[in-house]
Amino acid sequence: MTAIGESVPRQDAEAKLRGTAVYGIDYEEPHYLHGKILRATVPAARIVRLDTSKAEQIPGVLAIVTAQDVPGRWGFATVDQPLLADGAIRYEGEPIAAVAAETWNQARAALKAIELGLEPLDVVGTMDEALAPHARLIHPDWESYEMRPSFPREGNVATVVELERGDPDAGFAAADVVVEGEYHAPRHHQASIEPRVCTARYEDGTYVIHTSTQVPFGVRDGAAGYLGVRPSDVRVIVPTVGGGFGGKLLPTLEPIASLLARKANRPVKLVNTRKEEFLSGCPRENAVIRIRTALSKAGEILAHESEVLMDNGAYGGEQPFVAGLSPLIVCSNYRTDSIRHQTKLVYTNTPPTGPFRGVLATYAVFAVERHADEIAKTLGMDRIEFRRQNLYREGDKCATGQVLEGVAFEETLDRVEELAPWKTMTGSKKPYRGVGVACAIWNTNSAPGGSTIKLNEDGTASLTTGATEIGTGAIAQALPQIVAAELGVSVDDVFVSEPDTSVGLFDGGAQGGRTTYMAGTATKKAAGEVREQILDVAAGLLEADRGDLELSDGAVLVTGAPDRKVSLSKVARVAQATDGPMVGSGSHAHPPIEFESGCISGSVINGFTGATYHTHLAEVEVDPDTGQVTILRYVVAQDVGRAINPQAIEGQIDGGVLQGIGYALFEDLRLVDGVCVDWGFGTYRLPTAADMPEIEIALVEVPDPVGAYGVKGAAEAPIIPVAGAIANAVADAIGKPVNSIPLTPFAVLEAIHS
Amino acid sequence: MDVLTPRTLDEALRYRAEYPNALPIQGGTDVMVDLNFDRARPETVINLNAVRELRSWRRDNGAVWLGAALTYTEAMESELAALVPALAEASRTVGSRPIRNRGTLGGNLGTASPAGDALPPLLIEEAEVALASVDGERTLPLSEFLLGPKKNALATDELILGVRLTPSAQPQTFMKVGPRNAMVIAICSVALVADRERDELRAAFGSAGPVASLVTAPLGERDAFATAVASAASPIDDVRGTAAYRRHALDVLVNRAIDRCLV
Ligand SMILES: Cc1cc2nc3c(=O)[nH]c(=O)nc-3n(C[C@H](O)[C@H](O)[C@H](O)COP(=O)(O)OP(=O)(O)OC[C@H]3O[C@@H](n4cnc5c(N)ncnc54)[C@H](O)[C@@H]3O)c2cc1C
Repeated sequence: MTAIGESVPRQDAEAKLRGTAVYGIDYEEPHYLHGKILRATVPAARIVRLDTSKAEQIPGVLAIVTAQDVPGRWGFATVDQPLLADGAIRYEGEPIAAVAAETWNQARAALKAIELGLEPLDVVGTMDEALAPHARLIHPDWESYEMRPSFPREGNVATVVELERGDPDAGFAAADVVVEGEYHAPRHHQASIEPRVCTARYEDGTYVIHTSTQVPFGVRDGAAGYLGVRPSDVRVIVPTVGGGFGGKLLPTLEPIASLLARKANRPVKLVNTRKEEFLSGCPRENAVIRIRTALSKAGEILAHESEVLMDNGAYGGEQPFVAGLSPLIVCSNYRTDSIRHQTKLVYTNTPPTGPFRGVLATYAVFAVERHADEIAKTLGMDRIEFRRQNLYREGDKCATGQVLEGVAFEETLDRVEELAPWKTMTGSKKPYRGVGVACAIWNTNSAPGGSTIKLNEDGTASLTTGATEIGTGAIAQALPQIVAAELGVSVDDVFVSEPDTSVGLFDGGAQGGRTTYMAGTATKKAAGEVREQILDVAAGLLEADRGDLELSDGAVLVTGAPDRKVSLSKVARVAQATDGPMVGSGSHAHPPIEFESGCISGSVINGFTGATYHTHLAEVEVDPDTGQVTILRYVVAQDVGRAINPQAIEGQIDGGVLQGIGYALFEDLRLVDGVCVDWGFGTYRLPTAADMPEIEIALVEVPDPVGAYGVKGAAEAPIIPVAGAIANAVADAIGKPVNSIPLTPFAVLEAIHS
Repeated sequence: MDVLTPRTLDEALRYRAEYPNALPIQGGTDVMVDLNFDRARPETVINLNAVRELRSWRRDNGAVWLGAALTYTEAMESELAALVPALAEASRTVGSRPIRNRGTLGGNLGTASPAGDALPPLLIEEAEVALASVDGERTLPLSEFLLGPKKNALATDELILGVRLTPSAQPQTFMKVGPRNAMVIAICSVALVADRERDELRAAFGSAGPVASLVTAPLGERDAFATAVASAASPIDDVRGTAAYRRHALDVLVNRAIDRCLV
């Protein structure tokens, strides 16, 4: 019996469908107070007065905190962000003070009673303004900020990533053809249904925080940093999470709720309003990508040069670290050994940007794949032929010189070809119909993780891990499937406890497609330990050789002698009585990768771990009069290493593609002079079911050498190639390039008439 | 906040006279949004949901009477859809199923948004709005009821009873462009009827001027009609779209509507 590769239902399906699941927003503690945050309503100002004395007099108000109450500092990379605005306001929505009161209305009244005196500053609202000579510095003291690790930076440039390999100048000098392009992408809001929410209490010297987060250990460390205490003085517990998509990676509300709880000596619950989510949700950054490629007439890439500007908003967050991934994706997909790249992360007086599913790759791949189509067009080559000729193959080197193994581009192209033969698709072109493909290589996040498994006296197994379920099903079914497969029990007999940083082993969080890859591999090791112990005990009980035993159906049996068996329940009881309770632990970290050291600076991401390969194909129809785009067909071939649960992966592909359709066609978190235009779903338009074509899926399984069973990340990536595939299809349909997303009716109509 | 729930129309009208600042609520799909965003804080709300007289629709001597509480879902049902097809088409494009189940004609008239999707189909059928107060009833053409963006002729002591129209029984349609396929406030919309009997094209547009408005021309002027409608509009640039795009799209939609209705 093996549960691997089976589409078993998720363990949390019933509770979620029936509405009995307790999400972070449902979680309440006795006598909790309502917290609210005073947020900046302007993007740039000096705080000259902050007086909370009147607010303190409001009945029911038990605590007010301002920057003065924050004991510590913290930064994911650069320590540039105060928890509560400290003298300066750098973005609209920045927290300035927070209150806790008996009722929501009292908290609201207290916010209104806080007296704030501001001196406006010039708004540095765009990257162009921030990079202009003599631009006002958003962080005049940037040099004094601590940064770990220390990357190049200067003034309004929060970090610079550079890569140079081979001899790009020689490549350009030898070129028959040089193709250039500039690509623009908007801010993109995660829009989880559940906003950020947390409840904190202070108990016996420990901050106990229940929060809707993707990364409990990250929240623990960040909260501890701001609170000026040890990480173990903070305990983070995660109830059911109502969506994250990267928006719940960083500590935001948790340290504020903790400060209030300690000051008020009561539990405090903080819930973002939808508007606060839009203002302070750390959306995907807007970006500009410029690419130049040197080619021979035969279509060989001689050199590649690229430049990326990422809008960091007012504070660094995780972005200086994420920017390090840029060269791997922008200088990618196509074989060349002469590369020059620079990425600049730019501070602006706008809400801080941050991680969102497929960080930076959504626009990087859009740019790379639009560019590939432009190259094919310039060379007069078929677009698929150009790709087949130049896409990475086994043993090719990626941007950093890492030698790629298990490259599966070819397989994904072949599977798409089976479903939608290119010649048929493009053969008889109808007016304003177009077909586009986009290919992508993507990384599986390899932050470490660990799991503990105990065998219960009734023969069931309990899994404890710091890994978190945010809806992908990694915890709700993939990890239980792994335990079930290793111990020969039913998936229903594997129980997973909720993440609790004081209980579970460290885990790098639900991000970057890593949970099944890293926590899953750790879980397999833990299950392996338990399995060994089971075999030891069972061998004695059955008087059989360990090698002749197998685990199946909740029992240990002797191969070939089906009546000689002992139940796991018996094994567990005997073990408990003789050696004590049976437990196994597994820890996993990814081995270091080899690359050409010295070619890259400003980055700690030197190559791919668990690289996956993707080809998407879109067929669209454009309404030439209104500019509206309709997706007629959408095909995905995705390399997943090993599909532990194919149906779960297909669900993730459906969701990722729909999210990508929103990014390609509708979504744009607009700012004017640093002020958010879109702060609700009335004008920020997510795709709906009516915008969703049927998605045809082919899973490709090229095993990873490290991940358990060959598994790689599967849930994050399907959003990545979508904008590229759709934009290429639209360009094909209208016969004009479309190099800025979203492709709204207005933009497409303009492109048609350009 | 007090919520008054009258059981009869008379009772509702008495409350309306007694509490001139009270806000009527029917489906609540506009009112609740305003409350949630703090745009309205009425002291008193008059909940009309128990008032039977406002519900449903009926044939009325060759005319059709549509109660203020008629929902979009009801307007889409086949019997009524056959009588007022453009209204049914418009109703299908409104919000999502829950919104169509709750949202009503009366609410759309009460809100009087330039983007109200029920308004253009009613305008091309020359609907009249019936209003009532404790002092009696009055009727006025829809075009006179709509005064400006979110402004109408409703007096503070009046309620909307419903609309009356005489179905033209002529080919008609409704179209809207929005940036996505559902749950979207129109960038612009058009209802059009090709009335062979009266030798007339009537078109009404939404989201392309301060109020949804009617434009007419003889059938013989079909080629110039789209341009005429587009130039009668006075669209603005806003967060949803530009004036130029709206004017252009209006032209396109009117031409398509004519093609659909005059086969
Ligand atoms: C998610 C969403 C999507 C939407 N999509 C669309 C759309 O696609 N197209 C569209 O046109 N609209 C849309 N709307 C707006 C709304 O649904 C419509 O305007 C609807 O017709 C309002 O009807 P209601 O019964 O809910 O009105 P309510 O909210 O109850 O009332 C609206 C106004 O009318 C007044 N009113 C209601 N009944 C009476 C009466 N009998 N007499 C006097 N005054 C009265 C109220 O006082 C209030 O001022 C949407 C709303 C939401 C929330």
